[in-house]
Amino acid sequence: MLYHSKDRIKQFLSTHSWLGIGMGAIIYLICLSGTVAVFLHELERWQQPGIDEFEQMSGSAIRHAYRQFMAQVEGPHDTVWVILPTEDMPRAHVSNGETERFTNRHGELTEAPIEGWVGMVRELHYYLHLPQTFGMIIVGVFGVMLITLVISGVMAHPTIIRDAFKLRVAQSYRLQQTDLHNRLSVWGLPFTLMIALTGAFIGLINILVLVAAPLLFEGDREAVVAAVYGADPVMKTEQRTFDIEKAMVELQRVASEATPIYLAFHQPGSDKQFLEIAATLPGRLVFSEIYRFDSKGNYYNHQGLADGPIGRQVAYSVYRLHFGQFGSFAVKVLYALFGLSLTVASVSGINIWLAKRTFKNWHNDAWAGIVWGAPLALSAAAILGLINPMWATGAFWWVLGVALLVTLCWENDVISREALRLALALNLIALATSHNLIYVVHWQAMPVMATNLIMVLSGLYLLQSSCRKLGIERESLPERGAVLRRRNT
Amino acid sequence: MNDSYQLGLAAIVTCTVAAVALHRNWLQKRGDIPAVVKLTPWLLLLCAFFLWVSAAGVEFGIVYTLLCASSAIWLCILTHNASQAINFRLAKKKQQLRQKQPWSVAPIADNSGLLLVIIPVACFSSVMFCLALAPLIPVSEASRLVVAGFLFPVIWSLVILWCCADNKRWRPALIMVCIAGVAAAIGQV
Repeated sequence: MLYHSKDRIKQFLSTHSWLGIGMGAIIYLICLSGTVAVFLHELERWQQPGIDEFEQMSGSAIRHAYRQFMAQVEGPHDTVWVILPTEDMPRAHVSNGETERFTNRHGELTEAPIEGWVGMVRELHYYLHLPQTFGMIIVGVFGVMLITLVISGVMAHPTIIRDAFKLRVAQSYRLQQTDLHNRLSVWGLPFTLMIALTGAFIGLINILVLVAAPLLFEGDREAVVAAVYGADPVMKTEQRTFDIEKAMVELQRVASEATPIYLAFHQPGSDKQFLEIAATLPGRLVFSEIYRFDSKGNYYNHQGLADGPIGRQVAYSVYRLHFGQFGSFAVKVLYALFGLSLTVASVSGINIWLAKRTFKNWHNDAWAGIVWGAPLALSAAAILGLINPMWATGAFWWVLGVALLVTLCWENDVISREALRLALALNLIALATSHNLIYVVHWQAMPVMATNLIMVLSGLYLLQSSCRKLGIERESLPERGAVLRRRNT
Repeated sequence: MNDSYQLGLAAIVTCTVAAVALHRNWLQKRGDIPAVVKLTPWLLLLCAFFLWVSAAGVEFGIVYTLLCASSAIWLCILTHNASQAINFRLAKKKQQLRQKQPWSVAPIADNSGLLLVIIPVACFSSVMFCLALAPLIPVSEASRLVVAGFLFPVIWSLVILWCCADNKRWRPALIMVCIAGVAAAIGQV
């Protein structure tokens, strides 16, 4: 039924090919940055290792942190958040959306968080470093493109069942890439669809709100958001302080299984002030349930994110599902593996197209430059980010541009790919070494040691395989010889 | 070890056994495999799903089953081809001569131009279609908008696919305009 016409299959294959070729580079960047982004919490701890880490914060410490922040940071404050430590991210910080400060376990304000390289990776994945709302929509559009590629890929693959386990890696390069692309894509399909759909939802919700507001809510965009996530309560109080300890006790009474992850102090100091405590619930995928309290710490209501309309629950589950922020560390490792497989699938898709051709041209060079230039740019940006966190974003695009230019000028995709791999290997080793030297006191901290060790091991592996491949290439050098011969004639 | 861990471990083992059974069935490539043998891996996957649900709840159960089954199958494929996989980077490449072409961007520009037209037009008609459809879905208002939010990228991608794959370009264009028009009319009503 699905594959009833050969012409139709050809059409889908052709659509799949040119959509993939047109979008491949950006999808690759989004997938690569997304794979790294799975470990953002660990990388944040690696980037700024000197921060006090703890898993519990008492009510009095929260109150102290909040009061210190209000006293030290100039207002007006619309909302002040105290983000509590969790098993995944054992650090606490206070923020008003503009200014942010870490706190120690006693609630004393310490350093400001550094955005730096980790912020650069996050913004690359969220916005492609474009202006925020526009960038998010563009990334959402690429989510739609990924769904299109998945559907067209399935429609263009009539032997999907027959070839379900076929992997011919040691035969021709084209067969190898085709099988690799198909096996990774077919068995990774549930994950890819889940990531693409949730990513598109996150990115495109702004468009839906923009169109739904005039059509269904008389132009009121806040009403659209309130219809989905629930509206803020309107409270009246004469008290200008918050009874945090009582609110925490009340939370235990109302939802004993809930684990608080942050507190939001809304309109502090005004007669409309109220307190929200967001808390995760065991066995639930929703990011959190939000419990509301008045200034005296009395329970008012909850937002219904975990037990409200099913649509609200789904909408609030999307974030954790997309970023793999649930369960144990093993889930993160699985997400990273699947993210990497999606990245490899996007690369092998273009590799198939390049291998099918009878000739090579600048497309081969550019693709080698993008594929190996992007991880090199990420690691180079991390090194420069260690020196000055402000340089990370510029360094990423600058190194990627240079890598692209060098490969285009070199006109030998094989050698330039290996050279970039070699540069990446040396960069990773240099990054781990320089991080250890800069933060010599903290080298034994688990995230620091693990990250640096993984970097050194990956660097050594790349170094070994690149040197081997470069040795083989030097022995044969047929392609370079052919180019030189043609140039001479 | 608590119950959740034991159930989770049992689910992982069941998933792996299901993947191995599926792979073995595929390797046999015979039409006369008994139905019971054919069905066994799928039943095992179902068992793994229920074990995951018991260990971590329905929501996580679905996610874990999908991730675990895919990983187990990849592992099967990889171990079966382990001897070949060692030579992964030495696969034979056909000789491709380097062409000193001028920077031919015409075919890319042609396709990109088409995409630049299709993407916004398909976006507009899909969002209008979803919003017109939303009030007809028999759920609460919050759920309607979320359903529309998830339908929107799916319909958008289907429309793009259709526009790209259809030889008669006027057909999807005409239908998209009609959909947007009807949706706008429903919205007005």
